[in-house]
Amino acid sequence: MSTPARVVVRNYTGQLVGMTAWLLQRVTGLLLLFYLFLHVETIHQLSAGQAAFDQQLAFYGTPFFKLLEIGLLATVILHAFNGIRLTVLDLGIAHGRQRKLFWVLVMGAGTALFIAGAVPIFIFSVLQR
Amino acid sequence: MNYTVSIQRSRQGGKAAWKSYALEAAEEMTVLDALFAIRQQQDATLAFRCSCRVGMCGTCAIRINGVARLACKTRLSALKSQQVTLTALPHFPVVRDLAVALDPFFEQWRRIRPRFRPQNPEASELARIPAGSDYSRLTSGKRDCITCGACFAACSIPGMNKRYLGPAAINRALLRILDPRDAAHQQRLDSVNDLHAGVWRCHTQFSCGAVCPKGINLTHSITLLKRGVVGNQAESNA
Amino acid sequence: MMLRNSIWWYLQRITGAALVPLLVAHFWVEHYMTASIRHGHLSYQAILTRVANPLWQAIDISFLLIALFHGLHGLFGIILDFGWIERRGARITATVLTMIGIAWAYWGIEAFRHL
Repeated sequence: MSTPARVVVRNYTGQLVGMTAWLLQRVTGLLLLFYLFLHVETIHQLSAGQAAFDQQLAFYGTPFFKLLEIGLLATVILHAFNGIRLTVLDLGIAHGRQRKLFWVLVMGAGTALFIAGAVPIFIFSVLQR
Repeated sequence: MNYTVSIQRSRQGGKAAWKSYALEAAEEMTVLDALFAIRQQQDATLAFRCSCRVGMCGTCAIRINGVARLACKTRLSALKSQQVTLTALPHFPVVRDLAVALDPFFEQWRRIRPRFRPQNPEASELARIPAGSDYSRLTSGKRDCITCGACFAACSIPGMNKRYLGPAAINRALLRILDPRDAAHQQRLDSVNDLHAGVWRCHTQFSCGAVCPKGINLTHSITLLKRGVVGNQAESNA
Repeated sequence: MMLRNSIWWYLQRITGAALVPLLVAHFWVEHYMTASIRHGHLSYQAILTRVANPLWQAIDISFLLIALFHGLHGLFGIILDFGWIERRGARITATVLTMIGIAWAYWGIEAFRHL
């Protein structure tokens, strides 16, 4: 028989904050690298002329794309805030509070900033269409 | 209190299978006590390692409810559950049931040359480190490693990368590097500087320090080496 | 005296720290200044005007170069973490990633020259 899920969660969550943060950093990093590729490609489209570019822009204005943008915001915030957390820890500061740092800085402040950014995008872009 | 102890059992090269035991035990008993009780009362074929039973030798490290811990130092009451799930330490080859071969750990341990190399092997007087000295201060809390392997098991990097030295080996290397009496600083610095095996493969997950039965902040030791804070120490002592 | 490889460790953190204000500025400029979020989309003219300005070009190119170093060096770390490559393999991988970075940077800078 396998360990009941609730026991695994309770016993694991405390230990796995650091490991989850590491995994998140890797995954968001790769996603952002891929995004950077798409972004440079888009800027190249500027040279295609107004008509072609406006067509691209229309696509970027669709609700689907705006949702992707909100996803991008979340990815960036996760990666940046955890990066700040890691840099603080790498300076030898707050080692005993690394989990707290994750919950407060990455999840807490990160979520607040995410809401501040995502809500305007959502309201003015997704809902208006 | 009634406990259900589920153990992942296997023979070398065989498939692992779970076996559960119902156990009536006092809360203050340790997981090691529980293992002995099961072995004596229910199943004499159960295999597990132990030696001192008081948290000094590091032999009984296993994974208890998902966390690498010493069985002799983990009370059933601390688990806050009547379901006790035991598996062998990950990242080590399983010999049988909960007993693992510690070769991966000691292979890395040896790579940093853990043995003390005196600067003057012919010296007749003992080289003393006074209390309150730099070495004493910097290594306080880092000297108690009992090579239990829990840190090596808890960190995700040894699971991905067979070459990683692991927190214990790096911590021991740090102690030798900081030791003003030691003569092999550069060799140890070179091994922790290795791109594939050394401190650079640590990604500050903190799992190591969280499971260390001696409470060593291993991440801190590794961070000191990354930042080069200890380099100066080694230079002035060389 | 630092470990020989620590310069890369420091650079990853320094570039990471530098990316934070660059990103904030970029996001603000794009989504709140240039885009006029109330209208819901950017306009070709607005972007062109901003991007034709040499100051913005300099900032954007710096942003790109710093992001490329940080991202590709991070990718290098992930590859090393898996322990797939031997010692010589690390040098080859580093060279390949550097070449990808240079090509990518050139491709990015080129985008400005066609305007």
